[in-house]
Amino acid sequence: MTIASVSQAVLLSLTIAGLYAAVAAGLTLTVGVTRIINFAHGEFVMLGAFLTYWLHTRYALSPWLGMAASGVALGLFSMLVYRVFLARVLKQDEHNQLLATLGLSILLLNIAVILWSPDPRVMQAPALLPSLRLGDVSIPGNNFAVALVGLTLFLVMLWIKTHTRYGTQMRFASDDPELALHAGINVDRVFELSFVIGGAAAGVSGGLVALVLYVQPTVGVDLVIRAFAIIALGGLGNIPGALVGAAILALAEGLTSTFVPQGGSWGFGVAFLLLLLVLIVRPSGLFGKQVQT
Amino acid sequence: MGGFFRHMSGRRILATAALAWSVTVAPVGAQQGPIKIGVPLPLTGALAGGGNQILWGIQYAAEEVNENGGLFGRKIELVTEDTKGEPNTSATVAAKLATQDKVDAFVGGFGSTSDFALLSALQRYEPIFVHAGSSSVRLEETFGKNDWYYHVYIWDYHRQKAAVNFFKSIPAVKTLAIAYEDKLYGTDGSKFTQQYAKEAGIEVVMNEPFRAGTPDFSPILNRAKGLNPDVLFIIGYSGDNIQIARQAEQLGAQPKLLVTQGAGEKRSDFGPAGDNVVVIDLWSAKQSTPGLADWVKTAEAKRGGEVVSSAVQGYVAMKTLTDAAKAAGSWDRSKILANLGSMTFDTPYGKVAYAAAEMGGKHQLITDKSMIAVQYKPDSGQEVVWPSDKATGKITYPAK
Repeated sequence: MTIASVSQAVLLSLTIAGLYAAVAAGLTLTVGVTRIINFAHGEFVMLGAFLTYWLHTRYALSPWLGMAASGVALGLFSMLVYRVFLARVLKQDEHNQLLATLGLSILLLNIAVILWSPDPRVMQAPALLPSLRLGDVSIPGNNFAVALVGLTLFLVMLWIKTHTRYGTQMRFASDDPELALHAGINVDRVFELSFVIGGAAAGVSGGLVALVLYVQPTVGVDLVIRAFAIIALGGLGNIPGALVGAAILALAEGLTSTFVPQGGSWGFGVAFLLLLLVLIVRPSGLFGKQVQT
Repeated sequence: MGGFFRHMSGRRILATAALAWSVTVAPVGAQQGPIKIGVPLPLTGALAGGGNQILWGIQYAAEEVNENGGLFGRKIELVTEDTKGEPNTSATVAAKLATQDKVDAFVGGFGSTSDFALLSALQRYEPIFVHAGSSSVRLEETFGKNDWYYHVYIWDYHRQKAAVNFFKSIPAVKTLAIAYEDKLYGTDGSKFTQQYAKEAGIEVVMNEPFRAGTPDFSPILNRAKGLNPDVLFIIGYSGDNIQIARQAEQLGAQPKLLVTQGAGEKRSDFGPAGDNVVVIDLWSAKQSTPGLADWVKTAEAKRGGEVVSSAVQGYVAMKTLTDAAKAAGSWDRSKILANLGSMTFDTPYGKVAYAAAEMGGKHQLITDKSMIAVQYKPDSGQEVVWPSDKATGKITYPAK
């Protein structure tokens, strides 16, 4: 173990945290406001990845623009899903909501496999930012791009929630939907908006997946598991907490994989062991509100 | 009968004979109907890519027979069922094909876990089963000893044996680093690779697992960089193979030679990161095999695109069955099984015959001896570089 190897592992893990943070950003907003556990969020990410890939491969569109276009497209798709599907399910039992989004996840995944096959596709895009090379430490430029976009998405989510009128309404509606309704807030509209913003964030995250990973129907499955872990770690609906959660998860995974023998298998498990320990000590997550009983 | 014919003119005798022949011979085929072949394959779900390729190969081989008049005047009818790659669905599909459709034989199967359920459900019927896909040794150990079971695709250890034989063919290769996905496929692969490498006198300096689909392979690449092995061998799925080559290039951590096990990925998927990467594979349209170029040309014209290795598996599975049936002269189960076991078949792999395998399988068609190593060249092309009798070019080593 050398200073260079530790620096490399830490820096690369933090850039991977950017990808995890981007996927978790939209999910934490949606779950925090509507309390809908959207299992299909990973498939929204997958659709964003496919769209960015095609826009680049077929129309030579820059991945930056591809990400933006995927954000808009998945925002619109989320609006459709909310209006046709989730708005009805929201009025039902919580278990039905869970099963409904799980069903939507499986449906989207299978449609993608049927339409596009399970084969992985790779977007051969040039590096969006310059690489960092300091002695034996090397960080690819696209990893910086991922970290940058992940951080930006979080800041945007935070700004929407804390500095806009809709953000105030979102917080009000999530704390007590009935009271918010009596206060004249269109709770349904607020829920829809948070779901659309979450979907748009998933679309942008999909662009990041296409940039540093590969595009495949199942690509969102592991990522959404990590995203749920991150928002549980940070505290449900707590946006800065989720950012810290993403960094903890990525560092635990990356450092274990690098420095523990046979660590490639342990990395994922250690990250979730950490999550379990945090939840045992603080059930509301690191930055969640403690509920007194 | 002789008296009856004595009262008839020559023309009437001929007409009567023709009528009798048409009544007794020609309609036999029609009365018996087509020969029904059950084709259970994953056509949707995670294994659909390979399943659909195998299906095309089976259909192509059946069409070839039907276009030439069928088998003993009977057409081949494929009864295709989607196993979805799920054990429960596979067992249901097996029962339907055997009892409801009453198929004459089975050709297909892909995905070891679901095929275990498929074969478990079928074994009581003892059908002729020509298995196109699946490589788990557990299948060989459980079903391989049956007289009715014929397996086309390699077993897991054949890949590793071929890989180590390829490493041995490069004189400078003395050390090996292995990175494997941490489920059954990769773990078994790693175990067999270590065993064969030890027998070959190659030192294994690293044996690291990874989680399939992981976005970050830098821990493995950096560890391998420190050890500087003569070969870094990846046992993973196609996405992992591409991602590791891509990150090796981005991090400047390319080993002397990066070798992967072919898992369906294409040269174009790798881009420049694929330069000089070697893929251990079953078959290449470019390999030097007598008559192959013409077969590929015709098949690609029919396919309207590239014919990939898994499609060839399906084609060969169907072809061995129809060749064995043709040689039997009628649909005689015992004769067909005997022919499958004794004949040599002319296939896109070359001339091959079913023979005993190492872990108890009685009828195995493709082994490590049929396998090849393909090196991706920097001009976006690729060359078969091993074994020498199938090679179309020379290996670039070290690659970096």
